Amino acid sequence: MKRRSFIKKAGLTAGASIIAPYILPSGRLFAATGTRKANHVVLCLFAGGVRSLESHKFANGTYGNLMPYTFNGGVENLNGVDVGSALGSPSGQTLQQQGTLFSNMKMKNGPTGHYNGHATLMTGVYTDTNLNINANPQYPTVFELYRKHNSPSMSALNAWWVSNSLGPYPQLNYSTDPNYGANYGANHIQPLSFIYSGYNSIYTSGNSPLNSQSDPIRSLRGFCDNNFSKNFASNSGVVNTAEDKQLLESFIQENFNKAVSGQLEDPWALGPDIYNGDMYTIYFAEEIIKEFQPELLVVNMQDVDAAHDDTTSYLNNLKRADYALSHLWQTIQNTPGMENTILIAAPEHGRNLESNGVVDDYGREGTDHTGDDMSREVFCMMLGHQTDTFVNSSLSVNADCETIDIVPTIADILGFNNDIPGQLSGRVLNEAFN
Amino acid sequence: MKTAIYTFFCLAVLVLSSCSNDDPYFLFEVDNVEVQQSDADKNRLKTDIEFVSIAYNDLYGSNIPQNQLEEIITSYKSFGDKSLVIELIIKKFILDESSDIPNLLRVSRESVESFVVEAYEKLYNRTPNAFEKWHMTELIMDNTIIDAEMIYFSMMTSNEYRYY
Repeated sequence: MKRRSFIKKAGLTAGASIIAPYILPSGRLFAATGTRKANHVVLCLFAGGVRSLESHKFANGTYGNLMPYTFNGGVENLNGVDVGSALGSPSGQTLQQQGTLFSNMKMKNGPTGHYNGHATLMTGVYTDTNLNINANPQYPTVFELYRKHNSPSMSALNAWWVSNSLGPYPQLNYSTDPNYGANYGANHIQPLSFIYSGYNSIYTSGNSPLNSQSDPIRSLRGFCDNNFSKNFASNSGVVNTAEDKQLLESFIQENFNKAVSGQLEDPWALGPDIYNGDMYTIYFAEEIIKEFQPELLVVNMQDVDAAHDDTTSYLNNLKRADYALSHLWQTIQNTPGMENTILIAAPEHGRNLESNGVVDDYGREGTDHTGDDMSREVFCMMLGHQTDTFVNSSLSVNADCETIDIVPTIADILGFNNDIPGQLSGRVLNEAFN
Repeated sequence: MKTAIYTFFCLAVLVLSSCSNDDPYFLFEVDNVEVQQSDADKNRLKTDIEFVSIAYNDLYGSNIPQNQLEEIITSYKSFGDKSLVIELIIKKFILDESSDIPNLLRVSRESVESFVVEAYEKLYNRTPNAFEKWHMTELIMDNTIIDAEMIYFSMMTSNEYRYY
């Protein structure tokens, strides 16, 4: 063997021996500094402030089990809460039977407002920021931590934030932290405005010659940009590569076509009248999962917040959210490429013990979320793919835990927790893993 | 030394006169807009509403209806990659049959140059410098596939169009 050839082969062998231990069965590399428990995490923020008495502690409440797809305990039929008949009953195991339930999770600090609850769940840091401020969070989001510290770094197509509404929520895809920011942010979409009702404003039918990646347009725009000193990219939010933008545009166009042709009116074949914003939002999160198999996706539901002034709607929407969460888990399990996924579901905060005095048509009293002990009580459900052995099934954990524990848990699952030492004060929810 | 001072003086007179006397002054539908000579002063990023309103005005020659503006801004806020949303918005405007984009006449080099100058003045609010005018004209003449819509789309999704 010639000397040069020997050195080349020896180098390749040495390199392979270093890299090989970090190659997953799927063939991709993962973080060198931490072992992954799974390759995908889906976090569902459930669902606009849910009181423990109507969720995991229903046995102490007055309405019974309103979440039969999630919790063990049968189905309640209440006057005016009639959505359940269209949604049916679970034919298989409840989510509780399939996963680990943390029944003593609390949002210990900060105002129990929607923005605060979301920011806490998505940054792992309690915030005192006032309600509904339209600003990016101060601390890096889980998307930025993932995209910056995962090795190899992942494109924005691997990180998604699917929100039920606008207001302050679009800003939760990246922070103002100078060490992170938009370059590590997630793709955000609010499908109710963008796809379902907004297509009129930006939808173009048919194949357009105005393809931003075509040679003539790249030449023309490239020349214009080369003769101008400033770059809008620094102000354009999350940045996708040119190739990824093509994929995104194609995906958007496909869904616009579905919206125009009415295919999105009853996507789960339940009858068009049954859907609320939460169900459409979850449906669209599922479409993203099927299309891109992202490694990290966060989706929220918010329609149970009707509880402020219409408790019967709150109860109906809770049933819808319960069904949607179960549907999301089924879709994850049935999507090729999403094997090895962990689903985490938790409300951003609870609701007050005492009513606010607003009575609905059925005589039920409304509830706010203003920081009493019950408004800080939430649950956390964690599920592993059926072929996984990582997440315990049928386990209920009574140990104290907090909503700030979810981000370090995601970091641990995706293998980059060791790369962010001291940044997060929460703990990993290890009880869920066997 | 005298020669140098004289040369400098002549050049100064030429430059000043060329800059100050014959600047074109265009009247757009909504506001008076003075066409500039260079992009050097464009430091301010258009707000989202300004961007959409100006783009509509540049293509339709009228103010955007309030409800349409609100719908577009809602869509803009609903997607994280703003550069992609901008492309979708501009594409929608340009492909709309009622938008007003001049024809690109390829009958002579002068007609293409005229289109380029007009596009720069309308969209960038300035005249192209000699190199820009020459290069854009070359690009267009060398690529017969390039049409007026492509030129407008490229310029309206470029960095300069986001600033004023």
